Amino acid sequence: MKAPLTNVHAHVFNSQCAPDRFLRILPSKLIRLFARRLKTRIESKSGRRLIRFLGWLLNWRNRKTRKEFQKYVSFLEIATQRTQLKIFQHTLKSGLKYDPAVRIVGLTMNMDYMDSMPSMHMKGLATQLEEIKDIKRYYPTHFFPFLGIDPRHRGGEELTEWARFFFETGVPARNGKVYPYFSGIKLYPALGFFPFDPHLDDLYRFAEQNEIPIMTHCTRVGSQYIGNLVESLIPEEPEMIMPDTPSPNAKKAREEIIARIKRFREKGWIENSKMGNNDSACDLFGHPQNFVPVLEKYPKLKICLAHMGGSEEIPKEPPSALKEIREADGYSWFELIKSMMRQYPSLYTDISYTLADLNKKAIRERIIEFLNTKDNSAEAKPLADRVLFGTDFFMTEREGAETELYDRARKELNVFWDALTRQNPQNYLQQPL
Amino acid sequence: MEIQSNILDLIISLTLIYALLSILVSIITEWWNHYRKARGKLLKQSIVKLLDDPLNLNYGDLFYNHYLISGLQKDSRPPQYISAGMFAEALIDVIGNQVMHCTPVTQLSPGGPNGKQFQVSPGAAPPPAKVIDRFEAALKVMKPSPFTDSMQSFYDKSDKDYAKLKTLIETWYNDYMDRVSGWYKNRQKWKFLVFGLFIALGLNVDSLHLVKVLSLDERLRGNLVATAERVADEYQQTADSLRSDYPTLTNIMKKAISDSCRGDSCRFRYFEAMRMLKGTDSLSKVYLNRSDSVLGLVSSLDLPLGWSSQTAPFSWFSRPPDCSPPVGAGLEAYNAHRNSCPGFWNILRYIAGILITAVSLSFGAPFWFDMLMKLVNIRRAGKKPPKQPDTK
Repeated sequence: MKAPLTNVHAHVFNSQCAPDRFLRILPSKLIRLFARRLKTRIESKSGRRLIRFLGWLLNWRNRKTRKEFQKYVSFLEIATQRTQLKIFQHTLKSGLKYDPAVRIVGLTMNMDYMDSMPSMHMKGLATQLEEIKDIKRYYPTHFFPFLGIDPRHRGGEELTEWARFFFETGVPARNGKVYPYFSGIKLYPALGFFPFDPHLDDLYRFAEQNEIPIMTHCTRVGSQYIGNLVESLIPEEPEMIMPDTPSPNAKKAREEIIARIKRFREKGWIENSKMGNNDSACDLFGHPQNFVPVLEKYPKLKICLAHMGGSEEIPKEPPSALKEIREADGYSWFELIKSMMRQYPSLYTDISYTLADLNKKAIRERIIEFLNTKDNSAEAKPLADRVLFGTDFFMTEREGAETELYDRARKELNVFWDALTRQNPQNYLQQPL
Repeated sequence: MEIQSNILDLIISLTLIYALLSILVSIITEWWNHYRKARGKLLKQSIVKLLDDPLNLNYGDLFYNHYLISGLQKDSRPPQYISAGMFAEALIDVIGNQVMHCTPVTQLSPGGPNGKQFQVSPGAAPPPAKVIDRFEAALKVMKPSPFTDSMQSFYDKSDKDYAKLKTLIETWYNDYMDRVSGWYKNRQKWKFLVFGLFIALGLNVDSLHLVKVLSLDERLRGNLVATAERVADEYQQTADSLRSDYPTLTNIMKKAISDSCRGDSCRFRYFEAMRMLKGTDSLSKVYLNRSDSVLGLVSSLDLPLGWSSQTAPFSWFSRPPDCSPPVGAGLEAYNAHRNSCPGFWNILRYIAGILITAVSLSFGAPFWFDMLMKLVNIRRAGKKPPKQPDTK
């Protein structure tokens, strides 16, 4: 039976799920001062009309920049939809053009710990998840949500017990199949935690036992962690999940992670800041190498390091702005993910967001080279077997319309299209066919 | 005996003008509330606040997602009114739904080419069939919180009777809505002041200038007093329930004032163009029509309002200043001096006049109409004897 086309990376949360002062992520004193008021303005139709008008006014001479600005406005239009259901229906509509049985993976996020200040939400995590359950009830064969996890919310067995409910309750569909409400786990370390945090140990064990896949954001910066708690969140030698008998790989990863933290601290990149410019801290939290100890301990745990590490990591020579960071880091994330995927057979990646740059020859060629790389197994399977298709809707609205991205991926990665969109996601998700 | 007093006539004339312009302020405020979805937004804020339970769920958000309520929303426009019955039904559903969609499932087979297979856990108890039982079951799984306590209290008092529970929640909602109405009125006061200032500036209504002109122009004063009496009669006949209805008040004015617009005095025709503006929804057009109608009445009264290069303050910039003392004490001399002398006191008087108008208009149309009726009654203290036929 042919697996349906699957977009493994989409977001359906709306602006109400983000903290009221969410715009404090922008390193501007003025914006940070009026963050809450500004968010309310953006959420109103008249506010967005004003932004659209100002964008038109400021860029009226340049058609190209005007168009770019309009993309940002359409991103805002989607992000401020009244309900998560509406956002899901938006991406579903695009997907249905390519396959009437399309599956969309909706990644929820726990945004309760984005801010060092007490954060107010219109929608807390529990309410966000309650709405997601409703979408699953309405679209059991199309919607496959992942549960957003943050170890600061709950830890250890308590976290597992909380998460278990979402995987062990579900909905019978009209096709006679039964689907659990949630199909996987979503991590967003850039919000301020390490994926090797021992609080996650029990959850990883549960996920491995129950073949629950994990999706993690994996580009530099990502969403900046806000606040002046960075130093306390990044101790010099953080506690780490380690295999019962530490393997050489795990030991090496641990040493390199600690050395990297030290280097970043020496450079003054990890300092408490009242502004939201904690990009380097995000790099430390979301580093692909952080998953090595986890993979060493749980070799069957399916983890997808999303975005292939990000477009900027793909060219052999990093852009000048990234040179110093790359030097202190020690790795190109794209290359590191490739070498990790060759070594760990349960490790995946996806082309979400990065696919917006597939029209650039240098990036396209490197991605095809990646896909054709063989792993270290005896069968020497191509890494293309573990690369997934995703768009990163609605973040990618800033780059182009959803259907444009589908078309671009189909055109540029035509040979791999079926594997990336159907077989690989099915292997990864393991949802009933 | 009819009290014949120039001062009283002047006050009545001024009150009539304020009453007329207050209708305009009310219409603009109402349109602004419609445009900004003020009623719906405040209602949503209040309900979200009322039902917010950080220890459990944001029930307010789920309430607005409920099909009964989401069906009332148009695009991003939240409903302006939710009946107590609908509120109670939706809330009981939202609480009960917490136990409704928790079917336990177990994995039947491990992953493979066809994926993992699941089944509804054997022996899993189905959710309660009755709404009241679901409500009870949900209260048991909710964490203790002030909100849970209030719901528990309603449930305890209902004797497990759905109708009783609904009535209790309806009463709770109605009491809360009384408070919300108070908050809404408080917010309106500021809007009336702002739009009062907008009208005072937009139509150049300087109260101090009006007083002076009315005291000097006997013909205008007489016309206005006669109109005021007709307005008061019409207002008296209007049912109490319609006395704060702006279209009704406009109609009262229309009946009292000749509706013909006299040539060049129709200074406000730019509203015709506004009416043609694209993008205004049908309700906005209704408000524009109402405003236009009131402006037509204002212009037909030939009041000393509006902007012109011949009158202050525009005239202060368009002609050479001449602050020599006025020649004579008549209306013409006063106007000539005011329009040609941009002196400190004239400017100060003008600003004060505009501010007085803004504050006066913020009291609202019903206030000025009531006031007008009382003043006319005072003027009529003692019935005017019928006119004797001319014996000449």
